[in-house]
Amino acid sequence: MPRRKLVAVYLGLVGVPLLGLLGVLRVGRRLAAPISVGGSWNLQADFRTLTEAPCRELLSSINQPFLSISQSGANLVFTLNNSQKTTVVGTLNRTTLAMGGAEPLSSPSRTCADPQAIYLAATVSTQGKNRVLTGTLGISGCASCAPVSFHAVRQASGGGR
Amino acid sequence: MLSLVTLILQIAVVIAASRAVALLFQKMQQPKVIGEMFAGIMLGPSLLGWVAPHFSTLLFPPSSLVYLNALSQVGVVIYMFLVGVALDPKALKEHGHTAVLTSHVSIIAPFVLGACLALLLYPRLSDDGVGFTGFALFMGAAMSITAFPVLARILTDRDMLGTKLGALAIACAAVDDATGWCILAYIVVLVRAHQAASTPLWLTLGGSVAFLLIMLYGVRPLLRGLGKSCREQGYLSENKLALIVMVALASAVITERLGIHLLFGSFLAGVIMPKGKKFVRYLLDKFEATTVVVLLPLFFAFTGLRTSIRLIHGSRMWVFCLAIILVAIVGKLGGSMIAARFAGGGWRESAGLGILMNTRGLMELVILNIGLDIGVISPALFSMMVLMALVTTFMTTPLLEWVYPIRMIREEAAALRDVEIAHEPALGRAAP
Repeated sequence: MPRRKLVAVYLGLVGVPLLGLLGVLRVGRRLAAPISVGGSWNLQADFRTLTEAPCRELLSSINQPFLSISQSGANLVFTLNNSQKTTVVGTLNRTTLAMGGAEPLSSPSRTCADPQAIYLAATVSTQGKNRVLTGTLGISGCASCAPVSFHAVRQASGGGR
Repeated sequence: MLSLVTLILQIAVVIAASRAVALLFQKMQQPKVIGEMFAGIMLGPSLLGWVAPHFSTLLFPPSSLVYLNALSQVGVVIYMFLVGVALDPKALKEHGHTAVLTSHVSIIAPFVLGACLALLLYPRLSDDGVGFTGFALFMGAAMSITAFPVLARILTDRDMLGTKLGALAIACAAVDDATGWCILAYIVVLVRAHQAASTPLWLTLGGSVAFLLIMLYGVRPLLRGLGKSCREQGYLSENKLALIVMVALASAVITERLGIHLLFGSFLAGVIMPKGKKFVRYLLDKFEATTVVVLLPLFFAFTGLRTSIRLIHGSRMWVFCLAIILVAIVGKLGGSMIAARFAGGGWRESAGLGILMNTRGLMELVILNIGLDIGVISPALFSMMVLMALVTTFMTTPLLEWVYPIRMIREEAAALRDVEIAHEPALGRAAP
């Protein structure tokens, strides 16, 4: 191929797309992604307020960091730091996140032993450099257990997810 | 002690599954590496964890995965070193302007399309922990990669090394790989610069340039003696082999400490090694078998354990996944094909090149794991991209047979019998 034609083809097939790439990067800066909540969270709550002993023990047996969140946009997967590493799905809606369903289970006695019954609703905020969750935590189907208020701080990490 | 028993059991299961599925894929005229990749996915939550969750937890308890990860990372470090060893920059020069144009277009076309796709995916599958620029550049880089070793394997299997198309594809893939890794290094620096507790940007940039210069102009001349020694004696002493391993490991550690990634260091160490055929073949023979048979399947299994097809739920997520696969194919296959056509190739030859360049294989998985590690892509997007890597690699052989049948290759090879094979790709015999 003659050199002049090669240069013209090169500019057309490489140069023009490169300019397009710059345009895409410029346009994309205006896009907003969901707030980052991925990572491990240390949780503070007083589980002694739960009246049912099995429910109290279920939540107290979870170690710190209490939960880790794997985030894909607004879709969240929560992993509790218990021996089974229970995973529960959740969602993020702007600054409000929810984990687990609040639908009551048929047998209350079974409920308190089932980590899948744990649900959470919280609001995300930023305090200084830390991301903070504030909300309530409860057990689905446990009629005598009032949801417990909690405060959680995200651990510093490299990746964030 | 329990962890050690678990780890040994894991290795045995992974190797057995990997060999079994690889054999199955070989019967389907596919390269073994694709079977190994599938085996890895099958051992993860997408299949084993779904069908037999208790057995899966018993075999791969979360606490044991740190060991599996460490072993698999060592495997990839050695593998990237071997990829660097096999990479010969002279390959590009031998094919002149056609290779330059084709390889550059085969990078930029999928790169731009990947960045465009990022406009759709960033608000839906990412979060504000990563900036759009880093996300879009990563999507572009992940779309533009070609698996040089898998390509070499396919060309060897189809006896295409002596053909013009095969030689051109190898040259372009080599350039694509080297360019792709440079771009990825920049993205890693860019993303890590925004993270707390990362190496300061000035240290990363200054240190990287200084390290590159030291490796190219300080270490490379010192290593020439190794190539000469291998050429004259036909082998390398254990001390010399140990020295080579230490150079690769030291280079990996330095790039990791500089804030890039340890794989860049091992790759760079491979690139600066002497390029004599005897030396390259000797190194590959020494390291390839253990890496390919034992360590890489662990990497595939670890990747599989991080891949959950169930994260792609709902029609919207599957549309995103299909869009990713479509963009990857159109960008890479289409871009390479059009470039080859503009460079003077026939339609059939150009299409063949596009199909070959669309092979992503293991290199894509390596890049995706880096992306997930540094947090630039989310787990769901990671799973979609792994599917894309599997689909684009799987489709290569049947598409190539359709466009460029073996009968035609044999005719061309017979016509070119007297032409010297310009470049014998390493990693072509046993490597994935």
